[in-house]
Amino acid sequence: MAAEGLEKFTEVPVEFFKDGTAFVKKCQKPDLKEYFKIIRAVGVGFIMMGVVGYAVKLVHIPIRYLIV
Amino acid sequence: MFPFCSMTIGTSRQFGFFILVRLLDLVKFFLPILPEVEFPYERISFDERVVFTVASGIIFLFGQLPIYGLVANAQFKIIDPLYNFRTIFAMEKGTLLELGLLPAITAGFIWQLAVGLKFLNVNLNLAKDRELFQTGQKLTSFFLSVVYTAGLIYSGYFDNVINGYDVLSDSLPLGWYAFIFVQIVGWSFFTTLLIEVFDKGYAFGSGILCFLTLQTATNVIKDLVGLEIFPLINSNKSETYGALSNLLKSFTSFDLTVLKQNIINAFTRSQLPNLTQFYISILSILVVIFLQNFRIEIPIRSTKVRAANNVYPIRLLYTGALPVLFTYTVIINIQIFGYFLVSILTKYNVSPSLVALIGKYNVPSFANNYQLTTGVLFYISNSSSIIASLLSPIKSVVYVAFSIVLSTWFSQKWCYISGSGPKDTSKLFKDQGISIAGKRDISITKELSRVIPVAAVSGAFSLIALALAGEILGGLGKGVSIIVGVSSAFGILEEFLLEYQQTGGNSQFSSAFGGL
Repeated sequence: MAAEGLEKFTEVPVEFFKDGTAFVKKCQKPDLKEYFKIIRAVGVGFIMMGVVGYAVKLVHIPIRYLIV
Repeated sequence: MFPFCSMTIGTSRQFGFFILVRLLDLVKFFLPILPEVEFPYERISFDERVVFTVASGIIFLFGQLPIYGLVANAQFKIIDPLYNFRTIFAMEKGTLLELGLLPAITAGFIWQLAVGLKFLNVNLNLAKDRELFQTGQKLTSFFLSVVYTAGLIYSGYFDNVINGYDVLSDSLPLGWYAFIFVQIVGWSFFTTLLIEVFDKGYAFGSGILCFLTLQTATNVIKDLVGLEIFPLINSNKSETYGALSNLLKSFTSFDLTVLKQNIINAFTRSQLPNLTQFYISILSILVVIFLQNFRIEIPIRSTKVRAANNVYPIRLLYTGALPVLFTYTVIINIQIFGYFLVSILTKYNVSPSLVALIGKYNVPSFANNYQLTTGVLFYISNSSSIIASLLSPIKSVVYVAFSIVLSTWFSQKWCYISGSGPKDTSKLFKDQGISIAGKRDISITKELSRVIPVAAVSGAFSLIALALAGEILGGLGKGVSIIVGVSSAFGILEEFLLEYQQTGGNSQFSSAFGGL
């Protein structure tokens, strides 16, 4: 009974790894050109957000001095 | 519309119905008192949505003003039990965003899971139920922020930074406590309302994910080029916050040995961001973007139009970064309530060896953090460096196993809960007159349920593996927040582009910035 339980316990991850690797193998991967295009789009968006966010944070510095 | 509920027959269903009435009625009672964001009367135009998004983001960032009543630079003096997870939830020490998005995220997951696991019977197709569901979330988030703040204050978290209060001689500063409490809870509630602005369709994406992305992006820039100069703890030196700006500043010295020392220091300093962390972040960003584009394309054809063939992509990251976020929400909640429990037990003079079973904190000399040294809490916390993770292998294994199990379990459940499971997708196909090429209509669900759960689980597994790799190396939550931030950025970007295409480029912004 115990051995059966153990078998069931190990079966799930093994099955999952089999399915998972099969899935990843079947997947369509981005080619280099597409990849760089996406990196550029996301990168520009990310940096823009970051710079605006950091600019707002810089405004905090004088306010901090005024408050505290 | 409501007979849907009363028609359910059978004891178990009736019990569920009973809970629905009771819980949602409880929420109904609060409906008139709670402030709420109204649904838009008409379609929000593209330009307006941009403005709403940017403005809410800026208001959110303004929440990082210091709490009134604390001493200057309180963030360096608070001894912090949550230092290793706070970046993930935008929790900023000693500011109004002390709790960050934690109450909102926790409340969201609690309600979604309660519905998904059938503890609660809500029909989200009904407008009334949906409203009550959202109000319930808001109420829970408010309640949680009260609990967290009260816990922090009770455990003495703010004690050594309150203005003009001496821990040893004065009596408890109850007035200051109340004042701090009101500030944190008030701002936390305001943040919840800001999130609602997003969720009611005024802005792009989901509010929580958008704020997390904004916070992550800001932190990446700040860690790199931050210009503020901070004093180091237990030393008389002060250094520039940003890793790159610190390195550049060290080039002003022409002494070769000093220069060499400074360059090494730029990669290894532990109190402020260093360049190693920055490279780990960049690497995580690149890997996430790579994984994001793994997909299986299912060939579909229209049942109405002849020869209209297309593909329907199913992503590897089917559930996005939500499983990772969920995992860390659970972990940080265990940590924060564990910390409260430890401080309550210590105040009631329970024997220290018993308290150590839960967790024991230690303050190292080089940082103002409570570091866990033993107990249950220690085994589900991350390490501050790769050396620390190698030195306690059992802890690392327990932590990794716990996170992986939690996140894969969640992803598997989530793809059924969130309304994008195999059944829902096949219903969507049917509604739009789409069918999988070479398959009969009946077998669509079967075909999809062979692909979708596998995609969700393997996607969650690969993301949490990436997150944990960063954590083992000593990312202290930075890697995780970047993974969540970048993959949420995709969602926002997609919605943005879709909306942009629908307006046909007819936007004031695009004509203003078109020349760029």
